[in-house]
Amino acid sequence: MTSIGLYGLRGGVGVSSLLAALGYALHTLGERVLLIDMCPENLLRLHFNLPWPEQTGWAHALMTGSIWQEQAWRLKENLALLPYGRLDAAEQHAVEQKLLLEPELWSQRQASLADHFDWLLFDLPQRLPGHSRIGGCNLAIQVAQPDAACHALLQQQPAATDARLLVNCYDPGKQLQRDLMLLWRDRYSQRLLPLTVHADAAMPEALAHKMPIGRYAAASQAAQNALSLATWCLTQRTATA
Amino acid sequence: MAALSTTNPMNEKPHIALAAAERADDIGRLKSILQLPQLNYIDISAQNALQQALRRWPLLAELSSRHSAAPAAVTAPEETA
Repeated sequence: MTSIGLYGLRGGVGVSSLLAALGYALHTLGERVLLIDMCPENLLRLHFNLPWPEQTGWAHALMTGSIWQEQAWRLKENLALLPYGRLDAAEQHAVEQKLLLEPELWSQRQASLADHFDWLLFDLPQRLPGHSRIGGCNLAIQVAQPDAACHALLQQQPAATDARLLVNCYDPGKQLQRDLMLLWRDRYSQRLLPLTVHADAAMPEALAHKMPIGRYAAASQAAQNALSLATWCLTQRTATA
Repeated sequence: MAALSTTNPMNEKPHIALAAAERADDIGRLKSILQLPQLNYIDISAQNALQQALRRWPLLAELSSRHSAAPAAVTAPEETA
C-alpha cells in the first residue's frame, strides 16, 4: 500500500480536483483506492456526488466519538472516500491540537487500511501542520500553477524538500507560462514530475457536475493527463512500497 | 556518432542509474553511455531561450539575480496562526 499526499504551493491551485482525478484514474487502472480529505474545507466529497448537507467525516467523528471507519463512503467497488466532516473553527482548532499531540493517530489508521487498499490519497491542507503530517506518506507531491506568484513562492521555500513538484493548469499558448516551465525545468529538474496537467475547461465543469473528470470527460486532455499521472504513480510504487 | 555502437543505445541498460530528468534528456543519456558525466555540454539554444524568458518579465529577472546571488536555502515565511 502506498500513501500519497497532495498539497498546494498556495491555495487554489486545484489540489482537490487533481486528487479526485488521480483517484478515479488509479481505480480505472484496477487499483483499490481510498481518498481521504484532511482539509477542514471538506470539498473533496463534492467531486464524487456526496450530498452537500452531509456533515459526517473522520474529524467530525473525533468530536462525536463515532467510529471513524464508518464515516467512509463506498463510491464503487474498491473506490472509497473519507470526508473531513463539517466542523466550526473551534472544533477544527481542537482537531489540529489533538493531531499535533498524537502523531501516531493517523499512522495507526494507515497501517490498518493496508490490507484493504493499494493507495491512500490524502488531500492535505497548507497551513495546518498537525493535519498535513498525517502518519507519513511515501509520496509527497506539491502542486503549483505556472504563474509568477508560484515562481516567487518556490524560490522562497526552503531548498531541502523530498516533495515532488506537479504543474497544474498549464496553458502552452501563454508566453509567460512557457517561460516559467522553461525556467522550472532548468532549476527544479530533480523535483518536477515528467508530466504536466493542462488547463482544461472540463476540470471546473466536472466539479460543477459533481463528478471526477475521468467520468465527466474521459477524452479530455486533463483526464488523459490524470491517467498519465496515475501511471507514473504506479512506477513510483515499486520504489517506495 | 554512427561508430559508437552497432547496437541501439536506447535498448542498452545504462551502467549508471539515470535520474528521472536524465531519462527524458538525450544529452544526459549520451553522458551516461559515454561514461563522461562531467562532460560540459553547453546547450546554446536552451541558454538563449532562458535568457530571453528572463528579459521578458522583470519579476523573473529580479528573482533570477537573487537566486544566483544566494543559492542557499531561505527560510519560508512564518505561518500566521
